[in-house]
Amino acid sequence: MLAGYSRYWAAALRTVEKSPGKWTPFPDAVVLPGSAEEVREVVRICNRYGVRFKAHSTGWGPWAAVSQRNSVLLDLRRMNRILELDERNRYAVIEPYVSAMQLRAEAMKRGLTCHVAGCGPNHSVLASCTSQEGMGADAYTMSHNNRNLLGVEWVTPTGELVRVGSPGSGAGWFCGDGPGPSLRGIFKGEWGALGGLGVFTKCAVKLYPWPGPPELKVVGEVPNYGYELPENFRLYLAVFPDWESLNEAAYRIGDAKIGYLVWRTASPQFLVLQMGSQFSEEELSQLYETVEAVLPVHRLEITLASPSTKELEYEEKVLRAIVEETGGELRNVAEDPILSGMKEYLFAAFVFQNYNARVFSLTGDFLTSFGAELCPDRALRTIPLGREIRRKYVEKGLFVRDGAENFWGGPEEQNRFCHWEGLLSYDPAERKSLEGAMEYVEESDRVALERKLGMTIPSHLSPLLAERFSPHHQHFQEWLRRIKKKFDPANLSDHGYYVNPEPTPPSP
Amino acid sequence: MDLKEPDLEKYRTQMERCFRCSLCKWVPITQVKGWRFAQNCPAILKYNFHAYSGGGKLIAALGLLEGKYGITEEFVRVVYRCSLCGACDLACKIILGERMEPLEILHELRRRFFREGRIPERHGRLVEDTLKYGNPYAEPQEGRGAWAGGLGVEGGKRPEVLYFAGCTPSYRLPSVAKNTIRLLKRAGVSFGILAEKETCCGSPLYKIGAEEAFREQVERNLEGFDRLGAEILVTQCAGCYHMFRTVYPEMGGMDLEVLHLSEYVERLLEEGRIGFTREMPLKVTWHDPCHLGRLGERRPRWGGREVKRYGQMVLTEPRKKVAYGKEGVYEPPRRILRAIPGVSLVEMQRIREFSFCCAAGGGVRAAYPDLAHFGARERLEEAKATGAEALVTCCPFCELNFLEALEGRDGGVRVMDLTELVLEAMGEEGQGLEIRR
Repeated sequence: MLAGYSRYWAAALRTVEKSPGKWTPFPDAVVLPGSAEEVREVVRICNRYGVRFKAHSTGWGPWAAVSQRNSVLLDLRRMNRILELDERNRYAVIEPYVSAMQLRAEAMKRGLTCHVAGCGPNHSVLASCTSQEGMGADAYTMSHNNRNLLGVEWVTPTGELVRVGSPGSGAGWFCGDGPGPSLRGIFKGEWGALGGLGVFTKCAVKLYPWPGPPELKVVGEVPNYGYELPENFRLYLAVFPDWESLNEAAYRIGDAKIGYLVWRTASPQFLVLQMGSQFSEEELSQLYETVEAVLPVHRLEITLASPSTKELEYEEKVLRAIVEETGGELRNVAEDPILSGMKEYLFAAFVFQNYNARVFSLTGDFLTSFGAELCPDRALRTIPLGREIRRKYVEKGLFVRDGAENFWGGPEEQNRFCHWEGLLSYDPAERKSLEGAMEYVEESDRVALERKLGMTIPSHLSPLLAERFSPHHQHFQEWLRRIKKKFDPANLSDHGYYVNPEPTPPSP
Repeated sequence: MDLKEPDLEKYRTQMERCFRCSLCKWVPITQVKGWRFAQNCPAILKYNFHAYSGGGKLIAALGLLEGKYGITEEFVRVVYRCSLCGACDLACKIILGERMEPLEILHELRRRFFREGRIPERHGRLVEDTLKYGNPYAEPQEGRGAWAGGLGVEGGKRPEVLYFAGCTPSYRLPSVAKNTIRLLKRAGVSFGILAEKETCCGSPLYKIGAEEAFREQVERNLEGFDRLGAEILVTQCAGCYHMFRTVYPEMGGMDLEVLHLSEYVERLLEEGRIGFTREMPLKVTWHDPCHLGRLGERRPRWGGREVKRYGQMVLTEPRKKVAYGKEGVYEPPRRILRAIPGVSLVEMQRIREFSFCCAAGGGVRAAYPDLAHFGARERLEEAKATGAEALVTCCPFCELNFLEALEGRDGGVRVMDLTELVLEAMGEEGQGLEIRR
């Protein structure tokens, strides 16, 4: 029964941190609380007997695991309700086990939608908002979940029930900072405590206008179901001669305030390979060799959507002009001789992110690198650097041959800032591949530090890796330690993926 | 005891590959239409602990293989509180394609448990009863054909069709078998039944991991089929259909063409041998039985190996045909329902290859009726939410489970067998479902 809570992906990441393999320590017990009051009781009992505890929602990532024995895991699966969906004020109040696919489907019925994090719509919206960063492909209009969090209900590490933001004063759930106590900076900061600061039992999350119909018609067949493209949606590939012109276009598109979604999903070769099961080996080989003509490397996937035809036409005109002026070419997916046949699938995959979990499909695991939220110019620097580092590993056959450039990202909040992270597929079952992945994480982190490219995603997820970045980022770990000690004096809320209240002694 | 297991070992790499996305708990993301009815697995829905999900059981099996723990009573409950409906298998393959066979692993795990005698007590009796009486209900073999009494079934040699009634119609829901006979007679089909010579298809034995007992049943059945000399076998039991259509051929037997009754009725309609004359003003929804749908697809044994391509990419050689369940029987019953004047068909959210299991199969109804009834009630709720007056299906075992879950109460939606509706539309009187105790 406990084993199911003790095996997660990111073996290489864990290897860097602690021990090799996907197994994590078994919790001593798993409880299934059904309410905030029950969570509070469990936390209080843990405090009474000095037992560590850890919250767990969908479990979509190794940080959902307990990091050491003698711990109780609170599986919040029974707390799965959408408590309120406020159409007028565009927010939903949810419990921890509400997934993005459920919230999105309910919101769409009311002309709204929600942000989906890059791990795909099977993630817990609450966990993404309260305890992670929650970056995803629709960030151009919906930002990331760091900025979508409103009111919060929090069971602190000592078992107090606190309502943060406007719910703290009984004024409703519309704001994370008041009227009422504003503690978002404490319990979350930039990236969240990944379970290291108590348990979040409810939260309100921003919703955004959905320009499509209440329910989309599913077309195509398993395994590549798609959605029929509504008339007021248009999918484009904007193809550029190089990354610089792509970056320039992204700036201008953002400045023009047009577009529903602007993103770049993954390398062309990777996209073909992850759909490999649908092709014979010969077809796959042919597609792999020719894919760059169809899905070029320097591209943005752009969706325009508007309830008004005139506005849609205006946006298309502006987009076309920007792409041309920046030396690119705008391809309407619906008119592309090859892509038009799969436009419904691409709509579900690119816009709805329904197949993001396929990033694991080639080997059963993947890792990522870089990925700090930076100004677009700076973020762009990660791409050639990442490509150069990774080429060595790819050429040695240690990773999947995805063109050595498998960056996923694009502009956020209409290009106020930008995200580029470099994905890689390695096989955790093959020692050399696993070691290669570990080495790559080390190397890319070192380069990010040297070139001042911000904290990488792996370093956000591993306190040991974060130690290296801390001195370069206002010694943030020292501040986290102070918070941890103040709010969790007995150190019972599992700190394994947050911060160790006692600094790690330097390696000999 | 040596916990290393050569058969489970075969699946080690796959078990290690599970990356715990938990999509095995949900209908395919693109098919999610709301908060309610988005989950696909009765067991995880009822018991909540991750171990009850497809991925949870794969992790549990891997821990067993690695000797991290042995088989406990709790482990037995986790493994057998599962109807082996294959919903998790489909959900996983949508992501991992040819690289994962969760359903095969769950079967293998059960075979291991069975060999070690670690099964629910009720399943031990179920095996004994099936071998002794030829049915899992422990009813006398000689009474197997009693339902056909007075229907004028003749025992002629070499009929066109062998109608295989199955255990549940024979002993618990005779009305569906009687309806079928009347339908076949009205169509002028030359058919035969095996009556007291008919014996369980072995599905319950296969599902609980009783390999040897299952083989015995297969042999008995194949002998019986040969005796009658028909060319087509028709059954309305989805469990029997799954066995005859997909499992028996893999065991080297089965020369007959196997059709589900819904497929055969559609054929009769197309050939003009039956027609619908009576208006049936009824709003209905169709329940896709797992064994007829996603498990009704052939899953030929694959004897290849995994190879690395494109650096570390895992591919199968020769390429494995992935069983996504899309070749199951979905359209024939729908086309029949649409052809009945006055019938309006509305769909539930979880249909076709991602249909929600009623949770009776895989030995669950026998050992854990509370789970079976939970699954049935969940499905009936979904049917009710469509506004349908009746949930129609053509699997007597699902129907039995639905009726038992309702315990005689009005669930807000009537449960009907397809034959009742078809007969009524033909101007005949169809018998409604009633459990014979």
